[in-house]
Amino acid sequence: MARDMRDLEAALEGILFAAGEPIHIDRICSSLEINRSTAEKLLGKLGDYYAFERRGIRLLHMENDWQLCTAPEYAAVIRRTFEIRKPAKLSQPALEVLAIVAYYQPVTRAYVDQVRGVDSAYTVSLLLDRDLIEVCGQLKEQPGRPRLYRTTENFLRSFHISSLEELPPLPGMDESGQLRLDSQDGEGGAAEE
Amino acid sequence: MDGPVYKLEQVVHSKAGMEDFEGPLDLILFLLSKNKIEIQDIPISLILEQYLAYLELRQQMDLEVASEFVTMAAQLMFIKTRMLLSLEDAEAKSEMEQLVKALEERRSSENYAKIKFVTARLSEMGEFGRSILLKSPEPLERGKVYKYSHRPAELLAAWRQIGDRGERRAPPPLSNFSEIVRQEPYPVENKARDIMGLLQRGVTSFRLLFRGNRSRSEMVATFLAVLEMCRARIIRLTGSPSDCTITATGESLDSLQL
Repeated sequence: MARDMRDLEAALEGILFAAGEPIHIDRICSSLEINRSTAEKLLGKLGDYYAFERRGIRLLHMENDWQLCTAPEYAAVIRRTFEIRKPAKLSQPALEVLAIVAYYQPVTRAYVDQVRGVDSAYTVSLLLDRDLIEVCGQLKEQPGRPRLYRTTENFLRSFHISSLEELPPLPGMDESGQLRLDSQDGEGGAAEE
Repeated sequence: MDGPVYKLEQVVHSKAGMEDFEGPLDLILFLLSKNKIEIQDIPISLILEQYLAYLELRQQMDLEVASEFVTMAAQLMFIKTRMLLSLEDAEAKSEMEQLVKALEERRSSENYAKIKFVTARLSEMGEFGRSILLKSPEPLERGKVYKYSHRPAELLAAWRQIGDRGERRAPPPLSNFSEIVRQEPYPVENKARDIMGLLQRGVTSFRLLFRGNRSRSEMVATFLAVLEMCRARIIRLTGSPSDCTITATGESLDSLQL
């Protein structure tokens, strides 16, 4: 199908708008009759355009899914228009549980409890409600058949990363067994025991 | 005696993602805690080697942290020797358990420190999710709400069509019929009077009422008169469809309302 890139880009934009929810790249490829790398290039270009021109929408990339969202810079004014409140911030316990699930997934609740040293049942259920984590299996052989948890696509979207590899690295241990905190951008000391 | 070492490496490889071990000694302690290996299986020379290697390494480091490892290794050596001397040493076993527990706690707290550290970053990153709004998808099954688009000219065209059809379908004005309706050649009222006359002369057959009718319209007038008279209960029809007789009820024609 001989069409120039501009047409394809415009068609892509239309598809993304109509989709609303995250759309898998394979669906885009098959309807536009283009291969994956072309599609990814075009999507990347479109996303860059929105950001560079400071448009009101942004293109999100989560694993193989793509989705349009409003630009975070204009969140306040958009919210004011629809009279909606800013969603509640994740509490420190919620962030801790989420981080444990994100970095060590799939994990059981027992593992989360063990790392945090406190019971995390409520926080886990809260994160499940918020669709930030999900059940991804069960350890059938273990007593109590504990469930395994992992992060969701909504987690990737909420933290603006396209895959788990983009999570900031956990601070490593140096040769003396101490946390290497200074290598992170100026937030050292926060976690020293 | 390198059997256990081989075992350990196997495990290290398969679990590399989940557990990060600081050193071989750490790993031995961990595996002991999981009952993967028995303390009796560990060659004392292996522990000693690792212990010494650790000590050497630790000399260049922060002693406070290193001392923890050294204590553990020393304790392990101590327990190991006691177990070698007496396999049924319950005290040594419980000490071993304590040691393992301490190690697990240490690892958890290390992991927790890492997690706590990274939550600061995550909290910042999470701001993005709080600042975006998403559009819900287009419904795949269209509802009743009309969502297509048209040009304004289409409405005009539709209006014109209504006009065309209106001209064709509207009933003709009544004046067109005035000529036809004005003269009624056989008024039903006259016919009714005729029928009464026939009845008084003794005619009883329904069919005979139509004898002498010269045109279709006269026959229609006769039939209408019969129907009207029946309705006014002036006459009564009896018999079968093929042989129908007609009788007067004695009611006068005045009750006929046309």
